[in-house]
Amino acid sequence: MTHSDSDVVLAVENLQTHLYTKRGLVRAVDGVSFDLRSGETLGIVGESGSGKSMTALSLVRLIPRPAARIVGGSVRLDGEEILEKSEAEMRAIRGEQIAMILQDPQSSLNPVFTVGDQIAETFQLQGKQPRGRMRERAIAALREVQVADPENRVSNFPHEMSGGMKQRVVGAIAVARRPRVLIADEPTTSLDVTIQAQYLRLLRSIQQQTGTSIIFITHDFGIVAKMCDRVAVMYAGRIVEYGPVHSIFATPSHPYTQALIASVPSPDTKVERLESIEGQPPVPWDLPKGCRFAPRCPFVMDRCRADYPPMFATQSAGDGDAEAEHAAACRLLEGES
Amino acid sequence: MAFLLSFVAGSPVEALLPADATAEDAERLTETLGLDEPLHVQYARFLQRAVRGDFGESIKWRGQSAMGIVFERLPMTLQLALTALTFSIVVAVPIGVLSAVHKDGYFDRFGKVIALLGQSLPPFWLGIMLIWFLGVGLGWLPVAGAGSWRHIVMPAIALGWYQVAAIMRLTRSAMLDVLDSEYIKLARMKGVSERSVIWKHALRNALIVPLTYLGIILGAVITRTVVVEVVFGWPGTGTLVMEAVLGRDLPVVNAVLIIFAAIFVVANFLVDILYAVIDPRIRLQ
Ligand SMILES: Nc1ncnc2c1ncn2[C@@H]1O[C@H](COP(=O)(O)OP(=O)(O)OP(=O)(O)O)[C@@H](O)[C@H]1O
Ligand SMILES: [Mg+2]
Repeated sequence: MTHSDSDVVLAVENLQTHLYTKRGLVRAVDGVSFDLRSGETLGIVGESGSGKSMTALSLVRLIPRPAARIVGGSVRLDGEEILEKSEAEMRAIRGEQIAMILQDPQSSLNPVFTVGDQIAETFQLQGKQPRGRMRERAIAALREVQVADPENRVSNFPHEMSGGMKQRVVGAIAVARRPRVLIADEPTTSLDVTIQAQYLRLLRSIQQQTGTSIIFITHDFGIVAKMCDRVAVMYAGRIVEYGPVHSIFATPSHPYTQALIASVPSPDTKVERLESIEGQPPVPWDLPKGCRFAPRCPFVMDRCRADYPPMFATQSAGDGDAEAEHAAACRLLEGES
Repeated sequence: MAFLLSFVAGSPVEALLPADATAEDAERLTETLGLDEPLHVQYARFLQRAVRGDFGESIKWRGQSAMGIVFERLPMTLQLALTALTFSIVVAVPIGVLSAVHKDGYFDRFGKVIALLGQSLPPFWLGIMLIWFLGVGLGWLPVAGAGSWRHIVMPAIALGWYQVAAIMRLTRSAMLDVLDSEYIKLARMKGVSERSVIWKHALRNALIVPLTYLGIILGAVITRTVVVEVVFGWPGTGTLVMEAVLGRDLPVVNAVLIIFAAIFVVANFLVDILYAVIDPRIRLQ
């Protein structure tokens, strides 16, 4: 890539995660590459099953065992290869350097411990501290994510809180140790619209205070427009297009991205299922040989089916300007660039 | 039920009288025991006394109240049952947890063999085998009686082993579910060590399932103490009830049955309390 490497917090290259299922081999993540820059928010968008969560879990090496395995590629955090770390080293990275907010706030907290204890545990991992001090820090963490009445809430059990509040607690745990990278895997899908908006504002303000970089996984192009600086579009385990959000919205270049954006009447509509795109996503254990979108693509050409198209820079990509880098894996762009 | 039993068990009058007694003797005794009155009167009187815990005098051990005799033996039975259950839990829970953690691995297979062995060995048979090997053969442990910790080892194993398989399998499947949950993912995400993920975060949640099972099987365990006590000559309520049945001592039999029922109720109550300790969601209700 052309921009300065010092700016890159997380560099993912040709990441491949395979799942060994009863029906056969699933290439859930199949050659994903992207850079996450300091302080930015990168969106990952795609239909259900496209491999977004599997990509996120691969970054912290918490993929389902023993079904899944990372079979290739590289993930570098501040230049250090994560895929070669020992399990003990990984534990030190999780929570401290890379944190994650999981999709479902209803089930992300352990029902038998108080939220205070669950927040405090994160701090305990940095080194044992007296109990009273832990409680104070847990209260401060709750205050940071704007939970009202944190002095009392700290001794609540998860079932005594609303969904939105639980998700704030999960957020508090994630940012507690000021990680370099925060991965948010569809953090708001189960929340209602007003709570969702509040939560997104909260994430933004925490990002501004702490300078953390965010990988934001979502179905929702409306949220992408509000939250993200850049976006990567995933289809069947691969990134088919990436670029700055405004550029993607203005000139979506992959037919899949075009269909995705066209199927969103306004930026506030959610895309759960892409009814407007002809056909079904490919069955994951039997992917087409060439471009995976070819069977559904209105512009498909013979050579699309032969082999997988590489990334082509789009016309809107600024010359040599890293910030404006916009590319798509589609042969339609082949002649243009 | 205890009342019905008094009819099934045979007439106490016949049992008590010497073989050469006359019909008049029998009549007199029937009268003093109140057995000549109509059934519903007998039943009402029985209930009245049962509620007060008064089953009258023992027939076999003259001059002692049936309840008093049972209470004398009760601590031995409780000691045996609790030791056996502790044995079941201490053996079954760790094996269940490790089987789940190493699903389909060697340990899991080892656990399955244990489970198979557990359920195909009835307590009396296991008891006899233990006596044969450890008691008679190797001479490590006393074959019968009570008095030291060495006496309780074999009966506790014989009684406890039967539950091991079920508790183990329930723990295993509950752990598999819990280990798959989002909050376990989040704990790992925080950087919590695997040991703490398994034994603290996951087990505390998974324990609820085997605990429910314990509540259900307590009745059966208490009933099984009878067989095991008889096999090992353990001087608890089990051997007592056996002697009482053989001697047609119905007041004592009834007292034991009522006490067993009471133990069952109290134990279930304790299980409910344990629930609340483990799972805060239950405390609210
Ligand atoms: N535990 C698992 N065992 C087997 N296959 C799995 C497992 N988890 C995910 N998969 C498969 O891996 C592929 C990628 O799944 P992934 O969860 O990453 O999708 P996603 O983009 O996050 O979808 P969603 O938007 O529904 O969360 C899918 O084909 C899915 O069926
Ligand atoms: Mg997902």
